[in-house]
Amino acid sequence: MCDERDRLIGYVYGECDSEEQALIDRHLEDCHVCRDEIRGLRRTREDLLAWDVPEHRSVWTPFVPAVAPPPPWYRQVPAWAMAAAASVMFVAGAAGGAATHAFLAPDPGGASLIATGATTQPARPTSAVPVSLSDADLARIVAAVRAQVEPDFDTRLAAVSAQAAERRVVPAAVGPGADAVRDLREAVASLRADSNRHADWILSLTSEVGDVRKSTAREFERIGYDQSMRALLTSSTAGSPGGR
Amino acid sequence: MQRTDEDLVALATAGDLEAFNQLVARWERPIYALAYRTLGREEDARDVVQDAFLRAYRGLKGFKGQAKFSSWLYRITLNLCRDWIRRERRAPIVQTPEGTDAVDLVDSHSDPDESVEELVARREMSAAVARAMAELPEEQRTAIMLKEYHGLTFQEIADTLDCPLSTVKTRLYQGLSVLRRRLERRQAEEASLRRATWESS
Repeated sequence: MCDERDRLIGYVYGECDSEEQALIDRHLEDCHVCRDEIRGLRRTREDLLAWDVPEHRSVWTPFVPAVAPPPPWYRQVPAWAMAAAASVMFVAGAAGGAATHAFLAPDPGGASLIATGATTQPARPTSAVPVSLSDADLARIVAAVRAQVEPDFDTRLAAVSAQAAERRVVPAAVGPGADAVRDLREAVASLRADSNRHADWILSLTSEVGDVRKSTAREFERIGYDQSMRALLTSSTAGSPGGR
Repeated sequence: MQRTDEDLVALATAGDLEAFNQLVARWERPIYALAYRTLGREEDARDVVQDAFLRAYRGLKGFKGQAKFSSWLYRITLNLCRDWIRRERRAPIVQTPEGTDAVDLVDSHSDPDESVEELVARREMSAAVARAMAELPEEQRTAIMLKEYHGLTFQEIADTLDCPLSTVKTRLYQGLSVLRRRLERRQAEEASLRRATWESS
């Protein structure tokens, strides 16, 4: 043991196993040199505790989580309101369709209606949009939808550009710089996703309007309505402002 | 319940910045103490601490939990200190203890149970230990600091310094033995000085 003094270090720090500890304990009973060595090492450890470290203020500026941009207007509309609006649209469409069907149903008096064209005026189905929806009307609807959606898109795109210029982000940076890059990427991805959704929405709207027009045409054929009646209705509603 | 380092590391790796802030708050003081004792100067230690945490943040995804988070942080800090010393081409600086004059001592004397004489003796002992440590070879000094001031086990020190367990024990024993001789010599010199002062008065 006296030749392997570094074995004592585990004993001094209390990190030797029980067998080693018992061995050293037995050795220390007979060896005053090793006893002095252990006593000296323990005293040195106590002296080491005197080494102070000065107080210091924190050098760390905490990372600040990025603030998410506000959701677009159409995401702020509650789901129940969207559902209610959809229901109203459905009921209005159904009512219009029913009225059209009722008005256009074949009846023995159809011929007399044609004959006395002026008398059709009070019962003219102006609410039956599908009948009077022309290509110009469709273009106006699409334009209205775009006018509602695109300003918001442009505003948000401008905000993201301004944010990028203001922060002068270095892509390789870490911490707040990296957060800014991630925020911007998320914002651009969100804009792109919204834009795609808007395009899909307009396409589906256009498709639905087209379907309605086709079904109306089929309905005309099914009920065998007279072509002159269709011409009369078309000419009488074309100038109407309610055509939108 | 307080989250463990492993929990916070997992959250921080998933992008939770607040979790990383908590890790910094928990480990800043020990890391600063290690850097200060290695470099010997407060402003250098502050720079190293900041750099160490930034490196840790950048390296979080590569940290697979193969060692304790604290051991990994200690290793980063020691590497930075080594780079710093190499760059500056200098040995660790031993700062003179603050409050060597009476006014400073009274200002910094916050413990009512400690007399001014005891405070002076403690400050002098602190400086003597710092000087003795600065003269040790770097490997012995680092092993002793990790053991004495940070409480790492032999195995944790071996993992942090990437060396065998037996090497850690040898470095500790040799370093402690040298420190013992130097500190005992200093105490003997002080005792003889006090005796001479007492005899002359």
